[in-house]
Order: sequence, then structure tokens, then C-alpha cells
Amino acid sequence: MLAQQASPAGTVGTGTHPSAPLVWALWTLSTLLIASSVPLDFFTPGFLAPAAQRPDPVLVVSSALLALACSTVGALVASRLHRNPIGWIFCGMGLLYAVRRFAMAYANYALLVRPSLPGGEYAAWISTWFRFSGLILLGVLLVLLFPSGRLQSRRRWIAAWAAPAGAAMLAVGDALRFGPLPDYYHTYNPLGIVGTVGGVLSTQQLFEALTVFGGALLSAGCLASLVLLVQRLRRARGEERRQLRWFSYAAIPALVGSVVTLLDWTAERFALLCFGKT
Amino acid sequence: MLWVAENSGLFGRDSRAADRLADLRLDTILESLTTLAFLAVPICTGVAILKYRLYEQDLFATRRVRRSMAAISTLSCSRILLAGTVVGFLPFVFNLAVYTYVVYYPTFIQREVGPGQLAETVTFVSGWGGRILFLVTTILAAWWVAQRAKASATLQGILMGLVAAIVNQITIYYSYTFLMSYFYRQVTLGDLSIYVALGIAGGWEASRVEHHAGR
Repeated sequence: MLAQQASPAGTVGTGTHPSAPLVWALWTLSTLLIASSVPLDFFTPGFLAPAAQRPDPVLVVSSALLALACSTVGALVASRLHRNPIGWIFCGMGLLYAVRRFAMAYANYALLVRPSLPGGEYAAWISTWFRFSGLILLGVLLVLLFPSGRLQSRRRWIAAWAAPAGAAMLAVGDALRFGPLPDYYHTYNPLGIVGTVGGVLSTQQLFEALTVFGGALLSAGCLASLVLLVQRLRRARGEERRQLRWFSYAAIPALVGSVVTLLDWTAERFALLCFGKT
Repeated sequence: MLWVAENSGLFGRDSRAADRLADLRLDTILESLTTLAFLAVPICTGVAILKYRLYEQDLFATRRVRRSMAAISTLSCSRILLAGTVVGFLPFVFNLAVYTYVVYYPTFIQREVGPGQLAETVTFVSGWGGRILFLVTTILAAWWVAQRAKASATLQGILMGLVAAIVNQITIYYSYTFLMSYFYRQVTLGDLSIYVALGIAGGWEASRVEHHAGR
């Protein structure tokens, strides 16, 4: 069996562990954030929200349920196999998605419906830089580490380093770029930095370049993990193949979608950096 | 993506086609689908765990699922739904009665009443009266549900309160949107929170009292 072959005794801990309360605390936090974001979405009239943020009721509910599934599977795996990062990655995915979902819903509500509420622009800022860096990075790591929780080849190590580096560059670029936030054209980045670096390069150009390189690196990491997953799937036999096949049903579309989305976004930023227009 | 669409033969280099493509918000749809696919990964992993014994978690998960299913099977869903719907609908009927009285009030007293004369009283009665009526009926109904529960009385009481709160808010929402926007206020986050809290608190308290009454 795949899990047994890949995780010799001692590598993966089982049974109740002191970290179990932390796992369930993360689960509770994700659930609370998701539960709070759904009413906020429903109380923001669709016509007020920016096109990219317009909450579609079906999407809101289905993504909320799926995020809960993510946290639940993560909590179940991490509370039993606490040394295996897969459970923690699932918990992280659920929590990151919940934080972004809540930040987005709160930003729309605070900025468009009830401007007296505090922190709307910071919520918009959080939802902006969490956009690609968080979920896609964890998705890439999940694919590379699944199911044993260890990187078993040099190529996987390279992809596992490229993705976090790209995600970090993308996040920093998005978080500190001055100007209107991409999905909130009516709100300026509250932490945007204006200035020059070494008297030649403006910070705007620097952060734009960081976003472009970060996006390219993260999409390369995505593509590499996709190729490695397909290779592993082709080599696997028996029970291991069936387990990997089920995992791939969702992981392959997710990675393909990520690569296209990231390349689209990167090309847009590249055009802005080089030609001053998208 | 739009650049590809505009410059590829697929859309005949027609800018109007590209404009329509922009209306479709393809990048947003793709991003949403990608997010959904990412979030579906744990579902597929769950299937691998349960069906193909990944991580040897199948027994543990099945035991947990079996325990949850056993708890759910003791719930009397029809009773919870029935009581919740009736209780959730009552404040609507109460408000309707208050507003009907206001509409016909000038006829009763046989003289003209200024538009703002009754507004304050009506707002107070329909607002606080509705909430008090909701709490009282929720407690009574939760008591009734808990009394008849074979097990998990507290859970059933809370669920009944939650159903009542949801039905109540849906009623207010639709009566505002489609029926009587003149009479009913739009649902606000504050209202929703209050009614959900009242529903859960009422259900919990009633079933707790019933539980301690020595059943």
C-alpha cells in the first residue's frame, strides 16, 4: 500500500498528539471565518461590488462547503498523522481560503455598504496579496509531497523551492505596489511604497518586476509539479495507482487552471511593466 | 487571455467578439474554477482514504462517520422543520397584523392620522414585539421538540431554533423584495445575527431545562 511503503515506522506519527487541539482550533477558526463571510457576501448588493468580486450565490455556498471539507480532511489527517505535512497543508489551504474569503467579503461590505466600518482597505489589501500566492503555493507543495510527506527526488526539490520563492516574490510585489488594488479600483493600496531604488528604478517598476518574476517562477513550479504528478501516475501500479488517480482527478485541473491563470496575470503585469498598458 | 482571443483566428479578429468575451469575465471564471478544483482535492483525497485505505485512516474515519450518522439518525427532522417553520413564520404574521391595524386605524377612529404619528410606535411594536414573540415561541417550540426527542435533546432544540431563525429571515427578505417593500425593512446583518442568536439561545435553553426536568 502506498502510505505504508512511503512512510516507514517512525516517520509518520499516529495516535493522539499534543498538536491535536491546535488542529481542531485551526478547523474552528476556518469554519468561523467561512460562516461569517457568507452572510457578508449576501448583504453586499451585487451591483455595488467590482466585477471580479461580485459574489455569485452558488459559487459562494459551494466554495464555502468545499473549504470546510478541506479543513475537515486536513484536521482528520493531521490529528492522526501529525508528522506528515499533508494534513497540515490541507488545514493551511482551508484556513488561507477562509481568511481570503472573509477579507474579500468584509472589504466589499465595509467599503461599499457600510463605510463607517473600520479596516476595509486593509481587508482588501489582504485579499489582494493572498490571491495567488497562498492557495496555489500550498497546492503545488501538496502535489509534490503527496502522500508520504517527503520529497523523494531531486526534481521535486527544485520544484518545491521554485514555488515558494515565486509565491513570496508575487506576494511582496502585490502587497507593496503603490496604486489602486487590482480588484478594488476604488481603493488605493494602504501599504503601497512610492520612491526610487538607486535613483534609477521606481518602486512601482521594482514591485511590478517582482510580480512578473514571481508569477513566472510560481507557474514554472506549478507546471513542474503537474508533469511530475503525471509521471508518477503513469509509473504507479495497483492500489497506489488507484489512490493517485483519485487525487489527480482534482489536482490536475487545479494545476492546469493555476498555470493558465498565473500566466494570464503575469502577461498582463509584463505588458504593464514594458509597454505601460495591459 | 483577451489578447489571445483578439489576435487568434478563433474569434475572427473581431473586436466586438473580444468585447463580448470581456463581458464574460473569463479570467474571473477561470480563477473561480481553479479555486474550486483546489478545494475539491481534499474530497478526492477523502475518497482515496475511505476507498483505498490511504494512510490507514479508513477505519478511524468510518468509525467517526458512523458515530455522526448515528447521532443524525436520532434527530426528528420533520418535527424540527415543522416547528422551526411555524415559529419562523409567526413574527411575519404578527407584523402583518400590526401593519393591517395601522392601515385601518383611521377607519376605526373615523378621523385622519398624520403619516408620522404612529410610525414610532409601530416600529417599536413590530421590531421589539416581533423579537420577543420569536424568542417566546422558540422556547415553547424547542421545549416541545426536546420533550419528544429520543436522544440529543439539546442538539434538536438548537437546530429547531436555527431553522426558525433562517425561515424568519427568508420570510422578511422575500416580503421586502417581492411583496411589501413599503412595510418591511430590508434584512440587515444585525437583524440576522440577533434572530440566529435568539433562535439558538431559545432552543438551547428550552432543551436544557427539559433535559434537567428529569426525563
